Amino acid sequence: MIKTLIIDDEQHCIDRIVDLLSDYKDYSIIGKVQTINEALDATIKLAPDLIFLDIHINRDSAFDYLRQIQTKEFDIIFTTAHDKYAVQAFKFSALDYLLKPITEDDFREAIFRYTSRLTKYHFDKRMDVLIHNLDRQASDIRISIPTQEGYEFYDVREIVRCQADGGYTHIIFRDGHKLTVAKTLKSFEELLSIANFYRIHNAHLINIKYLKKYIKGKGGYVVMSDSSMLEVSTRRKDEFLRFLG
Amino acid sequence: MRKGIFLFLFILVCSAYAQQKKIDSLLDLLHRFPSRDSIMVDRLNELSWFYGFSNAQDGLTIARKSIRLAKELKSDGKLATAYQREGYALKVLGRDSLALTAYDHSLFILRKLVKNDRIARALYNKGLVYFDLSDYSNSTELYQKAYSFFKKEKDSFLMGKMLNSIAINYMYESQYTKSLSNYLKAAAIYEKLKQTSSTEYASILSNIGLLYYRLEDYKRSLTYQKRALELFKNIGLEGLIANGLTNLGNLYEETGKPQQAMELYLEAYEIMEKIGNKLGVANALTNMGIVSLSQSDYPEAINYFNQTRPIYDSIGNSANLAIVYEKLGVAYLELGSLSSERSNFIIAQKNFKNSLVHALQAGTLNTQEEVWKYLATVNEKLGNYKEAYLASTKAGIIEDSINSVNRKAEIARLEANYEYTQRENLLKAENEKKQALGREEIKRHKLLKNIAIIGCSAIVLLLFIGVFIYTHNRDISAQKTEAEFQAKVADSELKALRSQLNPHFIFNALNSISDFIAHKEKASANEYLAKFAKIMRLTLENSEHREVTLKKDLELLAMYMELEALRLNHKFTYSIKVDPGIDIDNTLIPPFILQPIIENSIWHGISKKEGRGEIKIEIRKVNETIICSVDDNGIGRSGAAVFSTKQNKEKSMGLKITENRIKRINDLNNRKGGIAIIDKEQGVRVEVSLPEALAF
Repeated sequence: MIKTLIIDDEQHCIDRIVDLLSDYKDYSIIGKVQTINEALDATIKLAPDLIFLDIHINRDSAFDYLRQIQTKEFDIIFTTAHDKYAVQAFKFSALDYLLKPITEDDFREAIFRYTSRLTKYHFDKRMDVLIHNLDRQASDIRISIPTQEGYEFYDVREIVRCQADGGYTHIIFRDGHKLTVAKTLKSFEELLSIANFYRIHNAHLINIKYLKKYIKGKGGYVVMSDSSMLEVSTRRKDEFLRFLG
Repeated sequence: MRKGIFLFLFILVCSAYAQQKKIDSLLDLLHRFPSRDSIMVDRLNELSWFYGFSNAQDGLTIARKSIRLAKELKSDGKLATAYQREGYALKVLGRDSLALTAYDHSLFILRKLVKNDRIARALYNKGLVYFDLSDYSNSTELYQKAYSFFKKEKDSFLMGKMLNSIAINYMYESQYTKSLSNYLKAAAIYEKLKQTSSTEYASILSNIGLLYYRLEDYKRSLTYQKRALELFKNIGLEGLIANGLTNLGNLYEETGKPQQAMELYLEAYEIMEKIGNKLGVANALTNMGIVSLSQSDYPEAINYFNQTRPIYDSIGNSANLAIVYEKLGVAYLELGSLSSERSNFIIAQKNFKNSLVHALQAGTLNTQEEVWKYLATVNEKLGNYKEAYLASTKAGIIEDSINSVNRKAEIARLEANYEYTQRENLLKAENEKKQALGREEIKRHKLLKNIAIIGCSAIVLLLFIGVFIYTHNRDISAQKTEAEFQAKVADSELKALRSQLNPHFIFNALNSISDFIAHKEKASANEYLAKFAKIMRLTLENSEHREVTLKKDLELLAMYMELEALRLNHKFTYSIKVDPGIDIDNTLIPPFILQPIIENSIWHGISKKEGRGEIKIEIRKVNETIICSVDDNGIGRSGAAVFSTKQNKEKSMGLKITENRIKRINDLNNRKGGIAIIDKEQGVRVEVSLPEALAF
């Protein structure tokens, strides 16, 4: 049995998760708590395997709870109603989350990801990324990148650019090394645009920090600090120049 | 450690020269004819003006005397002038808020008298005060008003001056491209007026030098500054010479020549002291302190800063005050590190805290960030680890917000660099042209007259081409801004249209949920609500963008139709088909543009039909056009008309929004999109055609 703890300050949200979880036989709900203090107690006493954690609990943030908890021998699925900022943070740290009200489909997928242990690797480290990012501004965030072996963790400032290769993305770092990831460039674009990255081309996403030169042309080219020369899509040129200006 | 910080741009206040002789003769006249008439007011005004350059305190006294006399004589015009003299003297003395009031008095009178040129001058001078207060947007606004007045008066000389000042403000706001174009326009005016040895022209040279300084091109900057200083020396205005010296000093310091920098600062200091410019004196001393600091001569540096602190304090210049406190703190911090005496660290800490107070007041982020860093260091030395940690966190936060600002500036710099190179090439070409013309002249003496005539006409032609290119470029840039503005307007209108989520959909959804609750179908209610929320979330997200990828939009449409099918107890099925030649990740369409059409199909076509209906969405590509069709097998338009006419109104509302959106998009992008309604034997087919738009 998977021991499940639900932390949420609103009863109806707890009820919804209880409801949704009732379809899954392997799960037993060992606790339902509505404050941070109760949550801390329950985590220590009940040693849950899986926690559904609302990110706003009364006036406190779930992150306060996470900072105080010592062992992280469990998995977390975050829940939130409408918090762009938090969702952004989850995406960067590759942690799972559900948007409330929760649909059955989304719930099923989250449970699937949990049972297939996709969420298991490096949970601690991804948590560290999350907590690191919460205190920082956009330029100083870290990112968890899923790889074949698990996850790798980087400072976004280390990334010079990303290049699409079919459904894969090559990430090129400042020290010259390269990482290939089975995710689309689009997904990185959506994530990294808050950290001052710009998609100049179907195949190229660049960190503006490392932009060295723009060379005029039909679409033009950019020269990056690693002296790579990348084409700017004609359709992107105007917007790109506006973005820079 | 950051080096030279005080850069001064010269905005020239008049073309008159401060001549001691002139002052003496005026004083003489005043003594010999101590009448109390309008001539006296004129003389006082004039005297105050000349004093303004060399002795602002006396200038102020004289101006106030003049104000009293003008009031006595009820001479409005002269009173306005007197107020302006007062404002100018106050500004030089650093009493900015009083200066603003003085200019307002003057403007009030001038507006009554409807004196365009004088209003313009007063506006300009007021703008200068705002400039001193670092309020560049207010300052620019006043300059621009003044510019339009001067334009009315066809005074191109002063128009040039306004452009120069506007360019300076842009430079301070890191808008280098705008700054550049204004400098160029100004320079062109003076060149046209053959005023290339004037203070105005010299100041533009110096300002271009400053631009290069900002662009970190020190070599070019030096060339320009030297040329400018030479011109200033020829002209003989002391305040300007001092500013020129300061600028050169900053350059020397930046390029690692502290000794030369020190000498120039000292020279500047002596001049500023002589002409009673408090701010100038303080700046020169601060610069000297900074040089001492970088030379590790801490007691000397402290000595300098202690001198300037009270001056900035009395002027109320928080930005510079914050810097002085910061530098004092640094000096003590270094002293403390050398001697490891705790008392030094405590003094340093106190100074940093003071600095912070003033930096917050002035809103100077750079200083704040540095000071927090220093506070972290000093607290660590004092063993206050917690405070040290907090300070360094603060520094980090501020650093990030600066970084985003800096990056913008950095990019602007990159961009501007290109334009400068171009400008430089242009100048070079012009020079070569001039040399060629010189040779032509020698030839002219020797060769036949008609060759000279050919040469002349060639020059005229070249000039014409030059003027043509210049005005043409100017017009193009004006057209571009106009077009950009129009685009902005249209864009915001579109945004408003996009966020008009069809109210039908919302209320139907709410009704359905209420229906589920009434029938105690808790699970369905929950599920329905969750899906509805998801659609709302995605709709809101997408409506932020002018265009979204076809993939994203179709996903949302599918979700929408699924929910509607659920509401209507699966009264219809739906399918979505996309032409394999379309790359759905790279094709862009306006978000949710088909939604009102699908809603019409469901509401008017399907819901009244007996039995099940079907909705087919098809996306095709014909030539360069994307055709999105919504095909239903409902009761059709004629059938729907049989039912209540009330709903027809609402029906047209949904279509109207779509039509409007397509129209706006057409206007915006010069495209040809359209909407066609085809009545089938059974049901309706609506086709929306949009010119293909690709993301990349």
